[in-house]
Amino acid sequence: MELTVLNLSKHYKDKKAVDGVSLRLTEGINGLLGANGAGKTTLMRILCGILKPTAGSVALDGVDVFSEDYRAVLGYLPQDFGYYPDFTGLDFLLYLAALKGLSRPHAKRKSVELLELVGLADVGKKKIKTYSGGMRQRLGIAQALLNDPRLLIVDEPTAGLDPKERVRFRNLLADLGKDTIVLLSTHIVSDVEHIADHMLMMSEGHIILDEPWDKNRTDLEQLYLEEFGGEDE
Amino acid sequence: MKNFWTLFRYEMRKIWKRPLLWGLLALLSFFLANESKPFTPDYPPGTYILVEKDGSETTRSLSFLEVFRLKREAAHALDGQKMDESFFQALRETMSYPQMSAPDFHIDSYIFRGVPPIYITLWRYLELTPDAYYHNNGGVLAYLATKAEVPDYGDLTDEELEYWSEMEENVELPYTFYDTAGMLKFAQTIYYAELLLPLVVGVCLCVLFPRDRRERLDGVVFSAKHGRGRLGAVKLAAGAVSAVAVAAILFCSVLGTCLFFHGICLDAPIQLYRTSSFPITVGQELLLTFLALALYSLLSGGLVMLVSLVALDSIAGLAAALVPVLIDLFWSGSDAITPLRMFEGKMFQIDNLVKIGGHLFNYLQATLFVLSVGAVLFLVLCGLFWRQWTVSGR
Repeated sequence: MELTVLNLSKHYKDKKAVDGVSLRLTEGINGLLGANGAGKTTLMRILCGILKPTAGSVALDGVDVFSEDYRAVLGYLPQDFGYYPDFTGLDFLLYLAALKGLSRPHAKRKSVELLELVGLADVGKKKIKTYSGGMRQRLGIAQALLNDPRLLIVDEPTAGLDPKERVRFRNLLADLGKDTIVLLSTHIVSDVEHIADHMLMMSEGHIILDEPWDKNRTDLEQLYLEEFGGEDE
Repeated sequence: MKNFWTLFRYEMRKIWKRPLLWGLLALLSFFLANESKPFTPDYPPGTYILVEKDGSETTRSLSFLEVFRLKREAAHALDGQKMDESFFQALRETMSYPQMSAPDFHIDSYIFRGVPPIYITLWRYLELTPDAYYHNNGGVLAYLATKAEVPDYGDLTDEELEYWSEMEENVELPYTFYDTAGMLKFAQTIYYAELLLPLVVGVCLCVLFPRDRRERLDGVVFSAKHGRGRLGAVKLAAGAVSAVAVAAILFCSVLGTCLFFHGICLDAPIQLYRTSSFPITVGQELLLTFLALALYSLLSGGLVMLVSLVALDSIAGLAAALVPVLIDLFWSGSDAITPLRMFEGKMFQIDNLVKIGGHLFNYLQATLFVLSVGAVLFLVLCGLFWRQWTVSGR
């Protein structure tokens, strides 16, 4: 399984958010580090087919990013996402499961299973507006996993999680990465340092680092500071 | 179609589970019901002498609802009778002016003398024959009589007169009598429902497309397998069904009140209260009126959805709902066919015809055609914009 990104660019009037990015990602955790404004979110939205690139192409094993088949195996957790206030957590998952094409019995089984996984089983029938920020983030993680994605794109997934939840989520991602392409965008080094199989760094729309990563290495922070030391965090 | 109905239920829930919408509907339904009831209770609750048909008298205290029930029953006492010579003869024998103008004239005086309150509409015709009644209160002849009295009224060509005369050949004569006070009230009040409809539809549908974006869920939704093409179809279907539902709620508010206070006989020919040559009954007129109202609701809803989708702003969609209302209020000119004028009864009246390709079309056909085309056009445009916005990329 391979995600192929070729010469991807996204230009706005006066800014090149993504500029000539080419990547080949395979199963495992692919960490994407970059300062705010580096173009990470734009790149991820293009990889999810939400934004149309100015140039370039994205395909998963030859399946184009704008096809339904591509989205059928895609899980996406955006950096900043909302909720329907009058939906319960379970309703929210069932709705998105229907959108992802799951049958009703499968959707129900999967939703209950995921609520359990992210520690929301006891509040699944409560309205989302009563959830804390961390609980909403966990619900977001659950929705991204509904369709057992083969390509999981998560943008700043640990924002709002307490330290214990962050560790739990990192372990979950590491587990998923065994047979899934996981692209994890963050600007928190510790989120990816010990679980990433492949490291990407992005600056001003360009990929400036694209190499396999040894989980035992401990110099990611140093490397990050060298690359982004002068940039605004 | 996989998951279509599941998604449809969720979209309907998102549209309808809003206190603002239900509050507005409740308020307007109350307003319409209030407009549909009699303006003043001509027979207030109190003690009445009730005279049975056999002449026996009883004194009873009647509540508000009982008064209306008796009045409704009395009004329909003659329903179903052919308005032939014997009908008019019977009226002449049972009704008399002194009775009606007597100071103590109240509900019992007509219930029991077997003279229901048809005098309200028929007392002027006591001296009439069936033919004379038709001249005064019917189709083409009544139209021509009115035109003779008011020369500026109407201007039908010979071809149009022939068209209406031919249509009228299918109207059964003599008419069958039914009390039409309820239908008359309905025809007057449905006007308000039509006036308010776009605003309610606007509140109902302005959030349908912009909401996912407003809630910052568009990324999650659009990256889902069915979050684009199918979801667009689901949203359009939910919007269309909701628009028709709003029309049904307002329609039923008026009809329900008219049924309760006046009663409506579905078999009555519409000539009893309209100068019309359409060979249709009240029931058919109600169906056609609802069809037109539902199409108008679809048209307004389509416009609201389109504008809110293009602008991705619910306020813009709500503002678009004002367009049909403003057209109604400010489009001057006696020949202008605005939706409001259609619902004032123009659809069923004898009037000028539209000639297209050598064929003549009446206002009813033109109205249904224009509203259908408009509604379909807006819904198709919504689909195209949705496709442009989501499927082809943003």
